[in-house]
Amino acid sequence: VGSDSPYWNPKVETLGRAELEALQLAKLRRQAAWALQRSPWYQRTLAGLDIESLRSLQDLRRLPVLTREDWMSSQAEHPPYGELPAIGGDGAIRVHTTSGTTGKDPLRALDSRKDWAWIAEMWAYGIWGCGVRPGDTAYIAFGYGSFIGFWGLHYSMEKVGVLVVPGGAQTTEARVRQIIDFGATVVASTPTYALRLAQEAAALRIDLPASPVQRLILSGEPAGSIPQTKALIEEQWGAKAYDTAGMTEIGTIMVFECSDQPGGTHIIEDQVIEEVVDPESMQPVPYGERGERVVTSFGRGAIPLLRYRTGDLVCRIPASRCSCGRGFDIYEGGILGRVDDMKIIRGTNVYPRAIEAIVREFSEVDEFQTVITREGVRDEITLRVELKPDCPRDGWDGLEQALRKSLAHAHEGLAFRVEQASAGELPRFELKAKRTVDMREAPIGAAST
Amino acid sequence: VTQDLLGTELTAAEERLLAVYRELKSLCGEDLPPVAASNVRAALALMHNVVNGLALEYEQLSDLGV
Repeated sequence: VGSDSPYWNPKVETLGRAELEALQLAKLRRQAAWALQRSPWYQRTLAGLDIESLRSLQDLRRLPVLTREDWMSSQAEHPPYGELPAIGGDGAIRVHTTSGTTGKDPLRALDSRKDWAWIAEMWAYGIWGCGVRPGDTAYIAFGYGSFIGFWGLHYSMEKVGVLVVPGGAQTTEARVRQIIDFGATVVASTPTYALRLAQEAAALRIDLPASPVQRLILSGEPAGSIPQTKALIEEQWGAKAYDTAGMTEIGTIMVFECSDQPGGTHIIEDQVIEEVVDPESMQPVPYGERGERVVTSFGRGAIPLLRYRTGDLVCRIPASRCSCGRGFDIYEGGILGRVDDMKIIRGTNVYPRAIEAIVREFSEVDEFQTVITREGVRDEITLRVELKPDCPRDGWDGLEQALRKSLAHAHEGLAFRVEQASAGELPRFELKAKRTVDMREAPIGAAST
Repeated sequence: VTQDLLGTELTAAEERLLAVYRELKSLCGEDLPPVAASNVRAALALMHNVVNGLALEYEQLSDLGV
């Protein structure tokens, strides 16, 4: 076994369900004991827990959940890191934060040497699984700041033996030129930024499909598993796109899309336990039903994470739905969105993911934004569309009608307004895109962009 | 220890990997010059990935500065 293996870790990636769960239980008991012993937060919330009473994974459900609000309030009450850490800042070697795109205070996460090595290890499962190998050249289009983002990916590439080009603070044009100049075979970015890079390449008259790029590693947004968006990215790059998803609270990815591309992402189940629950009742949902992810991680020792409510909406299906041979279950369609993403417009459920899937069917669209307003007692939803520079303007009426028809068809007849935005008017994103603006609770005078 | 966390007999290679891991842990307790102390801890952090990944051992190493 070496570079011929399709698996990063063949021993555990091919375990059967019973063995995998036995391994998870063994690790759970040790991680829960560690948390109880060292973390002030868990000493309070797990007080009285007898580790020996954790006899099956079902027993995990007896433990309390941890929420983002818990973490943030603890951080505010006990700055700078709160009560969750099992070690002090002097025992850590890194601190990272959430991206802060919501305008709230960022969450702060500490990592020890071991934790940081593990973060790269998790990415290694993903990059190896989608076919990255020694000899590749990877371009990482990422700002390398306090947001954890692709830091772990960078180190995993080095570990595997890939030549890494860190595409830090630069213009999009400079990044496109470096991708070509260095002969990158792998590019990592958010899905939105992959489209932005392709747009810039077109403006520079660079033929991306003729470049050596063979793989795109996508992360940071659900769009990496929206088939229409993914197809668009693959077409514009002439390369295969692979979705991954992670979170700052874990420090790394917990799911990845393998080279067989089963229409979803494998859960790295020897390193995390992923529960899928009804967000209202908190009861587990069966395979094939949507629910909220609740994660228990075996990675970080500095900040143990037991039963963390992620707010991510997922649909879990069995590993057997993929032909790759892994025993790791799959999130069909990747991360489907946020549990609180759904908007209700005149009684109809609207998901940003569904809108994006429709809009990406129209090649004339360069960028878009959804704006929700309240006019009197009636809610309105407007799709604002920016056309590609080379798109003929006389085709707008037909495009507008087609978009209105497709959006209404996918939303129980709900009437969308469709407006054309001027060139460059809509925001562009390098990290997580935020294309839905709900003005219904915005203060008077708030801007729509 | 002759079995992994799943109760499976260790292979010869796994036994050697576990021995390296344990030797590095042991060295963390020695009074070593910075060049050795820091690099041993860096190596131990990586070796934990090996023993954890192969289900040979799983533990936290903060008390060793790792």
